[in-house]
Amino acid sequence: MSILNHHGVLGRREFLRLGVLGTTGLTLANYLQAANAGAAHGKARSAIFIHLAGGPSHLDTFDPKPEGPTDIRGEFSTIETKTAGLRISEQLPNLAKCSNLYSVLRGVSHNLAAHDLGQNYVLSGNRPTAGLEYPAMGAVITKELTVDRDLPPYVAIPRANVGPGYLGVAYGAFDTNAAPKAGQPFVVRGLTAPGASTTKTVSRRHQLLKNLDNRFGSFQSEDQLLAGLDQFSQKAYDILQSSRTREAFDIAKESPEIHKRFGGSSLGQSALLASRLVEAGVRFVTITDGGWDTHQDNFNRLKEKLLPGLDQGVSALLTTLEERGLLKETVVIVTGEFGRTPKINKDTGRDHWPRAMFMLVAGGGIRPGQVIGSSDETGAGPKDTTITPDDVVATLFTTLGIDPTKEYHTPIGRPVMIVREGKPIPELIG
Amino acid sequence: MWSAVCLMMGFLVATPETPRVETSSIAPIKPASERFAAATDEVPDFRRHVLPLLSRLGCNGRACHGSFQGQGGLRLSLFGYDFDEDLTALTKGESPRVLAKDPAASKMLQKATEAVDHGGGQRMTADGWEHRLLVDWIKAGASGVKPSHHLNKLVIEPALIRFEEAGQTKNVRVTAYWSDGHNEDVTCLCRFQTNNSSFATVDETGKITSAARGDTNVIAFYDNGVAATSVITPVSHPSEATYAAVPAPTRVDELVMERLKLLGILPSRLTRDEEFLRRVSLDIAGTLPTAEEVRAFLKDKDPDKRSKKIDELLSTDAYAAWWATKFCDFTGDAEAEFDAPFQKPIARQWYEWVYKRVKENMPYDELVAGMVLGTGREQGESYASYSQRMTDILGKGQDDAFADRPTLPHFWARKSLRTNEAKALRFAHAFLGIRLECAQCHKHPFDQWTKQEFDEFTAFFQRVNYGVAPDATKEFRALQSETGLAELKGKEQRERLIELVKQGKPIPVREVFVATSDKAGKVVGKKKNPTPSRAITPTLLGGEEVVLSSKEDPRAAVLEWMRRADNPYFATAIVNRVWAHYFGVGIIDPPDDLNLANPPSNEKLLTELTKGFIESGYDMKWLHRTVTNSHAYQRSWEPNETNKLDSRNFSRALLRRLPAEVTFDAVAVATSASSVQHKLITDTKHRAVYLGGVGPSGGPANFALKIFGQSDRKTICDCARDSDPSVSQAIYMQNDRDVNAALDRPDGWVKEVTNKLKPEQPVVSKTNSAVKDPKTGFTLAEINDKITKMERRISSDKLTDAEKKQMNVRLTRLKQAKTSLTPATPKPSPKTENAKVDHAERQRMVEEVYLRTVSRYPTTEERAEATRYLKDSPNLASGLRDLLWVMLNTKEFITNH
Repeated sequence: MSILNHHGVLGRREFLRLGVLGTTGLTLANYLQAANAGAAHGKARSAIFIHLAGGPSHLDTFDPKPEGPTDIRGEFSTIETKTAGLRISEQLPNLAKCSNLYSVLRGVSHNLAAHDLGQNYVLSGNRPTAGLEYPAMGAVITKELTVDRDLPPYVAIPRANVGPGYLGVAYGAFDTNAAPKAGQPFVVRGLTAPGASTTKTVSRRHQLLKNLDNRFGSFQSEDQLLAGLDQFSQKAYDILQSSRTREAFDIAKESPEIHKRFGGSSLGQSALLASRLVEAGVRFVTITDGGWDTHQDNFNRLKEKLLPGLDQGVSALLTTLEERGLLKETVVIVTGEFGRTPKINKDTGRDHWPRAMFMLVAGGGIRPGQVIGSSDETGAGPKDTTITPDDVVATLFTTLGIDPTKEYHTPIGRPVMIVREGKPIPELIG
Repeated sequence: MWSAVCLMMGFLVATPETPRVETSSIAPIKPASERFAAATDEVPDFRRHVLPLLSRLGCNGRACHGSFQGQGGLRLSLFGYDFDEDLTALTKGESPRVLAKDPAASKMLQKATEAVDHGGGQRMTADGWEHRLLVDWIKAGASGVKPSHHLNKLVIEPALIRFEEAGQTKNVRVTAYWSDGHNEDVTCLCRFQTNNSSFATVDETGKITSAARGDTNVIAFYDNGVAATSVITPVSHPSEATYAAVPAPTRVDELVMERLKLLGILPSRLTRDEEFLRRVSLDIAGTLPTAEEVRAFLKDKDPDKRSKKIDELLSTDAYAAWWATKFCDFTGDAEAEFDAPFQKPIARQWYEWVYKRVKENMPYDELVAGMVLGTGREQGESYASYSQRMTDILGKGQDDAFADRPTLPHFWARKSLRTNEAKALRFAHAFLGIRLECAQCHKHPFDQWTKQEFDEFTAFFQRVNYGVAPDATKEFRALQSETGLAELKGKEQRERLIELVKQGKPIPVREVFVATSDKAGKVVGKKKNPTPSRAITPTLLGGEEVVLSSKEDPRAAVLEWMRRADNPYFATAIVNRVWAHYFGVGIIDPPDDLNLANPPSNEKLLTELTKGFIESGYDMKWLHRTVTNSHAYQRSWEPNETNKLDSRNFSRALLRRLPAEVTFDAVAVATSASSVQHKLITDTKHRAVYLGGVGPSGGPANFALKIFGQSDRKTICDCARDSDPSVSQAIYMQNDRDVNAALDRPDGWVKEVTNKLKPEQPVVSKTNSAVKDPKTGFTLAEINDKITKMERRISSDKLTDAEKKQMNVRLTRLKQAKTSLTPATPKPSPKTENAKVDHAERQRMVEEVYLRTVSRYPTTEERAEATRYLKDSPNLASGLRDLLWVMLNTKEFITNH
């Protein structure tokens, strides 16, 4: 059952595409261009997606309106950054200092104001539709990119909010089930070295499993549940057989200086873990950081808890990846499922607002130090051109060398493009 | 015009006296698209024509003017239905959207035709009927809703479309039947939606196109009406004779086959006995059958053995435990919902109350009545007696005594149910299987519910409170000060409470009560008014107002409505949920989303089952028996060419991953010694299906239950229970300490077998018990004791990660010491040990492993492969352990098939 047809007939974008581009054939040209762009790029090897779940206020972070009326502007003033023309919230001093490492997208816009729908959209790059669930980015990356067999391709800290959709459970995330805590060893249960058995006996046993686990015959490859169980079982075996994954999860291996740099917040510690994972070769890491749904007491919550964690965690992640030479091959995206209402409500909060949001993008060959797009005077919508989540996801795939216009087939054989609507953002990858 | 009918329960129900219009008696008038194609005298109606047209054009959608902040200065109610507000928005204000002097120059028309810049683009042309209709409405004064009429019924025709092949098209016609006898073809004013565009698509004129072989529904929306048509493109065309050869021994089977014939689908073969036994045991009782049970069932020659097995399973404690867990999923029992320090016992009391009733097979409606009408004190009970009683129950852990109480108040005592809206949402989901979240703020986008209807339904729960009842305030305060609790806060208060309860001294308990002082519910049977008003009359979903006296429990009125035979939700919801449990998919799916736009895949089946269930006296076991005795339930998973892609018409069994609790228990049973297996299964109180019944909490199984997707009971959705597989689950089965411990435990099967084989196993050498390890200063016995204790502590989940790390360091040191003290034990050579076991015996062991994990005998190849493995293993114990491990890690073990 879908939810979506009810939320308005056709969105403006779809309307334009069908009405204009559809008849002139521009669509195809654009797609070809995008496909070429994809082939030309692909500098990135991995990506980290930091999802600020609940929807962070764009006005109080990367898209402030210092000239706006008080009931919109909010309580924070703005500071300069290293990027010309970019002023951000005063609550983000560290991110201001390293703005040469990232670009900011403003006026990113969609129209799904419910958390789950917005998350599905932003994390899949496809606006949800009837009867078809689109895969999360990580699932597509799992399918498209190879990863060393003893590593999970796609890790979710602590767990994935959006599933693998029509690709099926086999492409789902490896959930850590917990976020690392400062000063405590982080062990993903079950990842300990397999018992007392020697490698030889373990592999002999595994061979027996392969020989005996055939009850479902050829249906094994046709049924999603069976295919998923198979893939996960093999993967689990490979991961357990090597020490690489174990070591990647062991954040205690980092120096005290590095720990201090990332800070004690859950976001910071998760970012530290994510940096180790991509260094080991994991392709895609999502971090879900909650608490951003600030319907009440927006400013205190941002100031006291949310923004300090974001500021320290993300700046540490970018500078650390840069120092280790990993930033050029690791895309980092930070955003929520939507922005928040320009107008401050009676509870000093801001409500859901998908029509204007921000995204921070960095690494993997993405051109840093820019501000792309803009919102209107009150931060209520995009000013000129509209950037959509589809565009951002298409950009991410392109940097990873995945053609976003490639077609998949759903289990019943329906052809669907990886990203149906979006085009890579030329300023970022041009 | 309302009449008041006095009901025996003592409250009044008012019903509209509008004569029921025979919907087919008056021919519907032609569609607006024809009537307004040329100049006409007809004055369009705001509700019948203007708003539906705006809806169809998308104006009041979420992305456009239906957005809560409006768009371009115009805000319409989302999906329509707030008639006054919408009329005001269009006609009043600083910038009215209509211009009486020059209707065609009205802003709403200028925008919609994009004569002026419009963010939403062009929605219509200036020469179309839509334009004329709106102009005519403005010309006639742009008036609003006449309150006298409402939509009786919306009908889509044909109700079933059967295409021959993909690409064919068919137009539907939608007719609106109004309460004043006005019937109209409203096809051109409807919004249409397909439930699965992979099978059929629909355009805005109602033209349906088959997209592929299979079936789905197309839905039409108009006013608050929702109508669905079933669209089928047959998969194949088997002959009548082919179908005639498929027996349909039960009514369920007849109805399933009826549908399969329409679809051109042939069902899979019936399950073999061993397949049936495993499936039905896991489904009914959450229990994996033992090897012994499988052997006995296969030997049994009784033609009724399947039915008898079903009855036998329904009489087990495990059935009660597992289905109590399911009910607690639906209704949302969770520790986090209750106040410290008694959250654990309270969640447990809830479960026990349900468990007792499932065990007794209390009729479902009575069980639900006990939850719906839950109050703290029983009829006539004094507060003093109540608080003493609750204290005793807590202090002595008398869950049985609690379960004996006639009602369960905890449903209403939850933290998440403090607002009336939350009570209504939870209630509707738990007992009616409907999701009202949308209607909380606006017209439900795919059901009939309007915001007003939600508010009116919510009014029933206004007086249901959790706290201190007015007549007990004095006593409550007195108890607070007597016990010294009044001066304490936080941890100290919690500790005092625990102490008081231990001593059996009554504590000031809060309670669920129905307030009699009737603040907001002063209602009289006044006329139903479609415009929002401040005084909200409690109204049942479906439109009956209820006049409540200030002393009645308003929930009784809702319950009475639920128990009517024609209630569209109550019995249907549980029948559909039970069906979904056995088939992995509901007749309506998702099973907890009964809404008009989500029609059943087999309506007759659902209707008849529900009717039968009500006639049985809401007998849950009748329902379980009726479903599981059908051939439809007993079909194999093995697909044929026609039903490979079918997942909603019950032509084959869908493979399902075992639920979290069932998985944990299955591992325990499969690995346990035969001698303890029976006790393990029947001693339900130590099983996860029982312990996990209280929802997420601590305890030994907690980690496994979490990663295997036990319901968190937070989300108001049956999908809070997750049945997808994951890498984490695979890692758990391959390497988690739980599974390793299960394989290696002293009362495990591997130990049992190997011990039997070598009873005379000589103790190779004895360590001098007085020798102490130089580093630690302990003897071997002391070290062994410490290691055991420490390992228990580490796996108890009671330690912080830091403490665990510390303890692990000490553990490693002790183990080193142990090795240094233990003289090398010469391992029995493979030859000597394996020599004791002959080929036939090895084969029997292989058989045993198969029977205890996948509940069947191995095939010849499997037997040979596994026997060879045992023979080649360094010793028998490790060979058996490996084989058991392998079988636990097969797809066949972790799925119900």
